[in-house]
Amino acid sequence: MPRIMSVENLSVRFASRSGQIEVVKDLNFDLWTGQVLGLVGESGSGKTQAFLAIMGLLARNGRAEGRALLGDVDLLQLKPRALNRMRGREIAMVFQDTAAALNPTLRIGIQMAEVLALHHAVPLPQAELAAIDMLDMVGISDPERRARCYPHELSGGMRQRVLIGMALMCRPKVLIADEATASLDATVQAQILTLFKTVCDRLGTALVLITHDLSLAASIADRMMVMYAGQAVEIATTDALFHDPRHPYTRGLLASTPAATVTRGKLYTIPGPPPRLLEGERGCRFNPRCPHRAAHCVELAPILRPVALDHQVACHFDIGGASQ
Amino acid sequence: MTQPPAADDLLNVVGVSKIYVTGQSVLRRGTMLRALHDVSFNVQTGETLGIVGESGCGKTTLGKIIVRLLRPNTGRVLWMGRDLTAMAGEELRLVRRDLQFIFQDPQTALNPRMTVGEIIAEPLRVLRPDLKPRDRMQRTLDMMAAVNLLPDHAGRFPHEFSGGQAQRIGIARALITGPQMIVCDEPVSALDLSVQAQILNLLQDVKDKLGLTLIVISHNLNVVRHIADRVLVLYLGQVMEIASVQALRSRPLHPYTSLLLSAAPVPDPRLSQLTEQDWFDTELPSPLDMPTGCPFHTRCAYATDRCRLERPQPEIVPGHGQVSCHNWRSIEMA
Repeated sequence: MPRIMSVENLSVRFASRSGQIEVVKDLNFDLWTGQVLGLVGESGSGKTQAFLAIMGLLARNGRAEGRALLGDVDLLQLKPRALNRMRGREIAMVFQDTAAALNPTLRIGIQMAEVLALHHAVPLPQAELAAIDMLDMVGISDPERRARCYPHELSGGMRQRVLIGMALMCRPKVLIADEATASLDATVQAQILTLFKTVCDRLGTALVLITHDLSLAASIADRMMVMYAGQAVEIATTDALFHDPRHPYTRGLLASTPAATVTRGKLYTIPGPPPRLLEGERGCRFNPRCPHRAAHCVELAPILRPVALDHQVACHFDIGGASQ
Repeated sequence: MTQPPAADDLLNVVGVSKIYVTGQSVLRRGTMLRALHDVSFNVQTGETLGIVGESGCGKTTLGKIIVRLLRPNTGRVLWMGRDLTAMAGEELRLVRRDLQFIFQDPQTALNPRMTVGEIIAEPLRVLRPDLKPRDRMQRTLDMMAAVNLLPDHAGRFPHEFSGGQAQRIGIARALITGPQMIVCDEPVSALDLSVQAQILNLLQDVKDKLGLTLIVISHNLNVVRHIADRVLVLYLGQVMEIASVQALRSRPLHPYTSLLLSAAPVPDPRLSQLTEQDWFDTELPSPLDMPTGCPFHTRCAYATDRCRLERPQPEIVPGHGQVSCHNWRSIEMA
């Protein structure tokens, strides 16, 4: 399966009054054709900032370093004009707030058509027909009529479908969904996740599903990346991550998830507050909350290393393993 | 029919309906939005009742009616046998000590200009004017300790706290009057996963320690299944099913409950069946344009003509709870 994108040593820093804050640190991962990467982490883990950096959408006081290779183009080195040609065409992003992401004064058919008109100079009437086809593909019934609707006339779930459709108009190689189903109801969320899966299978799009909800990622992701305090702490196939987690943080997260199979009883909780992200701190960023902490965890930051086939962990220890 | 009230019921909700009028002005009559329709259920002392449903199904309206932050248009809410909807003045004030509420978004539920100590003590100031300031202070500190806040947090302001800590403040405020029942509206949905677990454990702890009765409203079935004894499923303002958590796990009777259950993502890729389901493309009907008959018939795979015309009445199923569906028996056979 071909590799579409590889991100190498991506770091994101923000200048703040209390010094440089390193919200993403040395991130390395690959995206593959038609695969879903589930990216989980709690708020402040850097999961959104990493992809805003890749999309060139960081706030003004933010700086990104490293490489984000889409084919042989490094997105981080592109000038704004060149980047604009890539965004929407090669790589697209879908956000949580569907109402804010659509222009309230334009009919959705036109909004979707604009993408094709801008990127591929398709005449508008023709682009609008393509928009109607796309609405049909993302599962909107009666697409001719819906294309003439304004965003406020659609429900949240339908608006999210429109946004996904819009993001797919140019058949991008990479689609980033940032908490795209977080504000939707359970049944609508299930529909959208199924839609994502279909899109990846049918168009070969590589999807990045950014979420704080492990269960959600479990349902469609092929591979998972867990982030903590700006760093990837574990990268594995979804099955391995849920059934053979090796990082103490991943294990803590899984144990603290209320599951259908066990009721009552105490949920495991990860002790302590999330870390501050000031630069120059030594050691593993998870060490203050880690049940396995040893002396060298405070001194030396662990690097991501393979522990099994297609399974990487950033921990000095190799805790767990399916045998234990 | 619904389960008749029993002696050890703390709360009986009897035929509650709530209608909001939207878009009303001098020139327009406005549209009726039926948020709740003929909702009845009982809550026993010491149990945890979960209320689940999708957005707009009336969960929050129901919660607010239970604690008398709202009044129903018709129906009654009986608190230990007395009609809460008709209470006023001193009588209502006494009940408010026993019946508290925890809000969804902890940050916006706290007054940004009051210190945490003032926020937690305020219900005492209003509901227990007989207490001396020193006692009030002592109780506040006790309560902060009970929810794992430090004493020196009392002088700080809400914005200095994280979401999880803010929710602890909200819980302390609800507990300080020594209530018998707390209604929690989406108590953890605004929180990070590891913090959710802390707050769920805390709720369970204080419930066990203080012998509380809890109503937990949530759209998250996993959360409700974890903490509740019984679950009430709301759809478009109507009760579809009430069932014990065990019964729900082994066999939900209402097709809507089954749909909700299969839509809830499970934290295990081997068990996930999400993408194998044939999801109904129809969306939730607007509560402004309520379907006739059974509200769920527009999305139900088993809908018959009767469902389109006649609203199903709740039917008691021994060992399970109750279900409002014309066809639950034949569906179960299938």
